Amino acid sequence: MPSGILGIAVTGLNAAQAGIRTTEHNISNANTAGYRRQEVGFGPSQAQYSGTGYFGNGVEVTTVRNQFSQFLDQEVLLNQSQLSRHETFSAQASQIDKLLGDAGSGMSTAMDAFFGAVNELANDPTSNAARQVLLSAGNNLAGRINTLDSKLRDYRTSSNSQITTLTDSVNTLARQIAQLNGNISRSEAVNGQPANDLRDQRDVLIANLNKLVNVSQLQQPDGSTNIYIGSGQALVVGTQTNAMGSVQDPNDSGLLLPTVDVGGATMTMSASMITGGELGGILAVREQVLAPAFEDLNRIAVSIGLEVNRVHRAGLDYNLNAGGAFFTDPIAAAAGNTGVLRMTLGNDLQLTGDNYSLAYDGTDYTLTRNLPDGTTSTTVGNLAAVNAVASSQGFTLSLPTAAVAGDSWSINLKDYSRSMSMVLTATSQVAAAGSTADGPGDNSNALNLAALQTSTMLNNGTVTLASAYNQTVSRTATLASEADLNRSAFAALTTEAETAQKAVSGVSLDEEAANLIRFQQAYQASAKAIQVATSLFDTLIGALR
Amino acid sequence: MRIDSMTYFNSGLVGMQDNQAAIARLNQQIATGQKLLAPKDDPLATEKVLGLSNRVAVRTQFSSNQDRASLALKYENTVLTEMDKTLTSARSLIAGLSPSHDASLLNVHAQQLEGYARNLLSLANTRDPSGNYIFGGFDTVNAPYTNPLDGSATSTTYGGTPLTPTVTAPDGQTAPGGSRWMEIDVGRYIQTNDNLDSVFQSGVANNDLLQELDDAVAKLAGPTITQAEIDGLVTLIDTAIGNLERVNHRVSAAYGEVADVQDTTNTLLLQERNALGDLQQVDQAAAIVELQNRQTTLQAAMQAYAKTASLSLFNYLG
Repeated sequence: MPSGILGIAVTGLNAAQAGIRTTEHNISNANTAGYRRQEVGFGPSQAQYSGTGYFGNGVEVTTVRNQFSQFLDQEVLLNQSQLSRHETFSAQASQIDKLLGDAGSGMSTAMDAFFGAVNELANDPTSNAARQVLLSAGNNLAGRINTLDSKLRDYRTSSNSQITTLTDSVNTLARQIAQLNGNISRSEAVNGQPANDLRDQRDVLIANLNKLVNVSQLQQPDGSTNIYIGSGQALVVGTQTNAMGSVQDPNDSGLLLPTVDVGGATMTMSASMITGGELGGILAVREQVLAPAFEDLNRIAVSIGLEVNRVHRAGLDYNLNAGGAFFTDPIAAAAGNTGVLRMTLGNDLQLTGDNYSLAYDGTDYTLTRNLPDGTTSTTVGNLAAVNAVASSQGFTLSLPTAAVAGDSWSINLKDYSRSMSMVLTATSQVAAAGSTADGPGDNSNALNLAALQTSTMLNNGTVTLASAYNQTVSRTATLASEADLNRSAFAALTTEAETAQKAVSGVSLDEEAANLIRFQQAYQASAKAIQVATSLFDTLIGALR
Repeated sequence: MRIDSMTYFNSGLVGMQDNQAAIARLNQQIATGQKLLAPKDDPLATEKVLGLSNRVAVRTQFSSNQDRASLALKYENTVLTEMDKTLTSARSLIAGLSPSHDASLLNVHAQQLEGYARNLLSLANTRDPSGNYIFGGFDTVNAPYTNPLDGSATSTTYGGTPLTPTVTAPDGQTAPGGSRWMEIDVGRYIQTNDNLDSVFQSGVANNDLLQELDDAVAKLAGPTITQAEIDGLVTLIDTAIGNLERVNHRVSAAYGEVADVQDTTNTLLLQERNALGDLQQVDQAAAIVELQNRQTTLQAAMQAYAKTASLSLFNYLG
């Protein structure tokens, strides 16, 4: 249509206006998160052929497109999901690290105080004060173990609620992305031009989603994008979403695992499938830091309980009665039992942390182990046969008083660190004396108790109680410090990738200022052309007058 | 290279934030004096710190055990020395006597000897400051030695822990029943009490020291004592003194052993505490220098930000 000299100048005016408009849009959105700078695409209008050649017909705005590099965008997403993972990991691991290692909350000081009290008892076995101090120190040790247990349990509980919150957020974001997918494909189908701002909005949502759980995406020809998580489970397909949820961990009833509903089936996602984002961090810290800390705490608590009880029972108390259990005995006898069952610590590394029960029917013993997945495994036979299995699981059983048919016991090794407490209540019950004592001045059993401090009873008889605990602390510390390093590394990588991405997509105000001037001058030039055309007409009209 | 405005502005921010975080951490280190604010700050050092802290705790406990052991041994040594003096006095008193002496003189000596006998009995029934009998083995609540010392033929009885069966320390040493040990170092036990069986030989006919002294008191008062009886008593007291000194030598030797171990323990404790301090404590001077550096860098970052932030092409377009 635009033909003639006036028409060409008008296309120039229009093009300059489009440029100014886009520049203003860029300037206005300089601080909008996820905004990619836009550029107007110009092209020459269809030329007009005359006998002497093609005459140009001015300029035409072909498109407005945003500037991006898919490779750089992908790079940012990859690094960002790892950064989120390590941030979450580091924050949680640091808390656990501080909890275990701190003198005020860790076990070391309570353990030292307990054995200090045992030594003082050995130094002065008749002293009521020394006995009282030992009772307090024992209470304190058991209490400290309970506190550590409950704090670690809190972290487990909070990991569950974090998973629920995260999956909810993931679902919300997925729905928004699906909705935008619909909007984008519709408007692009209608207009045939990229829906720049809608695409930017969707990418912001994808970036946010990617901070929660690492995603991969697949662009579709219609402008929509499909989002996959884990090992390729679709979360968003076009305008459809698959919901994430959570389900009880089959191996640990106290934990939740995230799920995704794919094609009507619910799929459980494990730590090995979700490797990035906050969700990945939570699952990893639970598996690598929390679970081992829990196991160690329980193992050390069981070892303390069994060993202290074993030694304490071998002695005589102030009134020369046989010593009883010092800490809670993992063995609970059924009412009416005749036999007396005792448990001795074997290789602590083999302890399963499961609950057992033992029953005697007059000929055979039945040892039942309650496995974490809810099933049981049983061993039937004489005591030697039962012990053959038990000793492969870190303990042996003995019967100082023989069992009769119908006797049964439960053995509570699971959650011992939660239930452990002091059994002794009176100072006279402390068995400081050896089994042959004839007076309260005997300290030989107190010496045996004190020797537990330096005896290598843990890690299959290789390290002391204190070293075993220290190993737990330093393992957690190593993981936490590793996570810190990873966090800084991925923070640097993410920043670098973002800088590179923004170098392509970000708004530079100086550049826009220059563009503004450029288009202003283009506009002025076109206006001048109109002026020239007008004066040409004026000249022509004047000549004819 | 193209730099977008947001990166351009934010680049200064990262530097400021990093410096502020470092300053906050340095402040905390300087305020607490602790180099390691959390175990993860240095897992290797943490493991060393935990191991050393535990060793220091155990060693401090052994040091306390050593104090208690040396106190008990010192106390026993004092009692035994006093017993030795009393026995020596009794011996010189008896050795200087003769049946031919005047009856009234012998009577006076009889009273003096009775005093010695009672003193010996009360020393044998010595209690420590907490009220425990120290020569009765494990039976710390009943007086171990009884003898009425009334001239009757009642022999001395020992009511403390029987000397057999012997007792075994956790490290394998054996000693007569009623012996008590204290752990003065890892696996090292020291006997902290003794029996006086060899001294008093209670209930042993003709060797029962207290009973023989009681007899002699009655016979001096008689006076029906013979030279042979005087000589026999002197021999018995000599034996008792010899045996008492043997016990006292054991006590002194044990005391010396504890003192030796104490020296070693204190030296090691000092070294370990120093090592612990080196690992845990922050070098204040270095920390303050670093703080100064960080502050300078932060200032520079702020100034750079202020300068660059005010740069814009718009400023020059009229």
